[in-house]
Amino acid sequence: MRFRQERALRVRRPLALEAIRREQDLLSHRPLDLTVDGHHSYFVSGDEIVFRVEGSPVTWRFALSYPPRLLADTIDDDVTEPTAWRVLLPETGLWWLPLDGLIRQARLVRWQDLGGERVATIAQGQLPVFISHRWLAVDQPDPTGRQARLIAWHLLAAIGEAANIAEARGLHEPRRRSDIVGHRVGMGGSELAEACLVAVLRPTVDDGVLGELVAETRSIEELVDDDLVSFAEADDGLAKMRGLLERRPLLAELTSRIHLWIDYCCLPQPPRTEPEQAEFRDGLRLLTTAQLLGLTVILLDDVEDYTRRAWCLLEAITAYRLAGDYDVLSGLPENTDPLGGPYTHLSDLLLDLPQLVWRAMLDTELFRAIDWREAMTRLDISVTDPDDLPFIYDLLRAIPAPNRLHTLVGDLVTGVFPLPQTSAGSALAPSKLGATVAEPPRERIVPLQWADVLKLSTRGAVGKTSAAPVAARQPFVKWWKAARGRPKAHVAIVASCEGEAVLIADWVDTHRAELETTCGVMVSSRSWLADDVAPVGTLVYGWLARAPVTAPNWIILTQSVRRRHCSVTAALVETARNAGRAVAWALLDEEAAHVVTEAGFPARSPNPEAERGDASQIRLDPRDRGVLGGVYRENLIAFLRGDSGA
Amino acid sequence: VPNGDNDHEHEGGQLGLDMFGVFLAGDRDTLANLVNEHAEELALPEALTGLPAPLREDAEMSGAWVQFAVAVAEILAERGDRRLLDRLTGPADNPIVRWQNALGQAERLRADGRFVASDELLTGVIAELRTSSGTAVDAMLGPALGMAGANAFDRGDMVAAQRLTDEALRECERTGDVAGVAIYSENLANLVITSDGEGQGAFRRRLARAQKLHDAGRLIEARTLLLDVIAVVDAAPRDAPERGYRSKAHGLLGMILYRMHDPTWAEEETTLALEAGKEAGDEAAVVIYTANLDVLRRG
Repeated sequence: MRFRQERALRVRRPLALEAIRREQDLLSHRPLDLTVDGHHSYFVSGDEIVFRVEGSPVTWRFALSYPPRLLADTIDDDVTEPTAWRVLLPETGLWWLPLDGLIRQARLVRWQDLGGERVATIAQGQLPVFISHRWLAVDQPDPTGRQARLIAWHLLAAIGEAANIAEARGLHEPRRRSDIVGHRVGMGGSELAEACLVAVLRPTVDDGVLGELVAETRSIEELVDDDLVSFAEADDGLAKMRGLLERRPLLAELTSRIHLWIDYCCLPQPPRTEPEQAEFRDGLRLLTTAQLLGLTVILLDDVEDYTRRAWCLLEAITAYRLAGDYDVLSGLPENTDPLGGPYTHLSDLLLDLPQLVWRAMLDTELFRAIDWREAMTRLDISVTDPDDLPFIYDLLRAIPAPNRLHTLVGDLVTGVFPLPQTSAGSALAPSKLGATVAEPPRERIVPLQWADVLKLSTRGAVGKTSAAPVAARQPFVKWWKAARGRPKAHVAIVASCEGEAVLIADWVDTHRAELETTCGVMVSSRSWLADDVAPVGTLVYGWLARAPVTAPNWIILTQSVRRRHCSVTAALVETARNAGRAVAWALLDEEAAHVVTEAGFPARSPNPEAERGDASQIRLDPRDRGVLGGVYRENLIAFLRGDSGA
Repeated sequence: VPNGDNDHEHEGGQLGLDMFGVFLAGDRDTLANLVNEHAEELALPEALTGLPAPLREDAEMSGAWVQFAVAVAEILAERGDRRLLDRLTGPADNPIVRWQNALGQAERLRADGRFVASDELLTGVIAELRTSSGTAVDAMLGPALGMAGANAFDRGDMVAAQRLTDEALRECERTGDVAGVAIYSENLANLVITSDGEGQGAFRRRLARAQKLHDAGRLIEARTLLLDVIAVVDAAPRDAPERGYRSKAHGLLGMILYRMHDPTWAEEETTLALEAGKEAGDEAAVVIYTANLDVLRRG
């Protein structure tokens, strides 16, 4: 990680140069529509989508706010209203600091000194914002008040951005998303601005006053002149902001509707009295709750240091995995550009770090290869008070498996790749590694009570969890005494590492009957496959092998992101379909785990009329054990077709 | 001393040396006249392709001879006879060799101060490289764009210089060309400094802001700002750097007017953008604004 930070710093160019490069994009010629024929490729860069057409040297760059017509099919993608509006908030331990209070104080004030500034409730029309930030001194997070100034100005800017979006899109018009490219299209803004629009503007502002609000906003925008961080840094004691808000009543009113959770202000600080200690303990227990109630924003200054601090890491991963999203406030002028190095660096880290933490947890809780202290040491994270570590560890292990995909051609594939048997000694193998799984129409969706399958904390207390049994470590298992009378099915697990595969396999092995009942099949075999972008931690198998499968039905157990975006899963499923196997998906990571069945599932026998597509017949030698050490993803097809692939 | 045993070689060699002297003296008109006069002899297979003996020990003269031969070949090519040029720049059926030779030739032309001729060569090569792929293409496209950017700078076209140098930088980033990234980053930084010195930086920022306002749906503000920008562009002398943004400015105004449901004015502005793009030899402007006009006319 340090290497990446150094590299990010090394490749960083002067601000003026980066600015000119952004300008270069803005100064490129813009088309009204994508009217050129030919094979298109595209990439999304910030708020723009850029198309290239094979054989043409011209790039077609569109603002996502005005996309080409081929992206006209969109779905509603509004930020959800704060969870805090729908749940009964705890009576103790959870405190919030309204933004107007922070503006009055102009610094981060110790919980005990806040008095009447803090509130315990979040009402309709109020937005809870969890601030994740680094402490800059042991006993005072923000000795100079700089962080307070940045937070206040960023949030005021977000309200302004929300007003601009409301004017351009319509106050009650939802944000839209294109399913084709998986991105927001049409007018939109940052997650924080969209949250302000949904939670603060819509309930409190009507179209009649929106114009006035926009006018108030733009009069400030002109002063800031695209350099919010420098402007905020120079606003000593937030005197300028207070002066501006005195003459802008609508904006001033809205600042009272953003409620901040900042640790120093919202948890009793040492030294604590006995009641304060109780309040503190309650507050710590509600840390994750505070994040789930609203939106987490990260004050980004030093990415590397931020992610090496235990509390910050916990908050970032919680936002990423449990709360679903986060936003970033720039802590330095050079971090302002969402396409710039530090932003990209944080995004990259947030793809990798949850995977590394997850592997450490699997090693500790599932394989018992290390104890929790060693796990934290290996993660190279630090904490000011060592007494906090057990608590942080407990919260980290309560976070389920990461559900976002980061794959590379160098992913290591281990386990057993099931191939549909076509005749004795022969099977069908994929010919190429496609990018995505084609999605035929869904037949039916059935709930599956498997919400805990990807959680380690349900296996017992720290140090007392049930270790993975030997059977689950086997990547291919056949069951001869399966429920009779129903069509046979094979269960194919695709996971992000061997540990995760074993975790799911253990669940399948012990809850097989539930799956059989839900799907109306008898499970006759089970395989697991790990497609691992960061092969660290325990490898229980370490080979890649092929296995023929006769069952006419295949149930793919994986996370929903792999259903759409994993080429290994795509190859597995397409080959099964090409061999006439009926397919169902058991998706484990969504809010409620469920089974999605495709046409023809369950089948009594393979469909003999299935088209072979991109698959070919291969011979399987029963003596072939596979490849020790697994196979890199880029060599997977060669391996499956009979080359060593190593 | 030319080898006297072979009269033909002697004559051809002496002719070449005489013309080389004219080339070194920088007398292009006389050189062109001589080439026209001896076009048939110069088109013979052995003409100018071998380095004359007196020059072989002198590296500087050897290099100058290559530039001279290419210059003669280009004059012949302009007359419609590409035989010598093809012999000098390699077989035309191997695109990689052809691109390499063309880049070498463009470099020589550039070194000789013939920026327009260098650009003409580069334009074709860049267009071909952009629609091709492979490691050879990866190695050549960045430097080709960088050279075109340097030519544009020397021609005084700061707008094209920034655009092309930025493209060169992106290409080198894409291919992992570390040396290229360093070179073009520095070039771009220098261009920024130079541009700001001429007040162009502020002008660019205003135009970029107009695009940002458009992208944010703030069309009235974008139009107001852009009308100011266009007033400056259209009033600027033909050689002023701001003129380089004329196509973009009118094209963006056309787009804004289209979104504000004023198709007639939008079409007028887009037509101006297309004309300005053609005048500047800006291929992307021509393609994009032609397409935009189609969209506008279809309604």
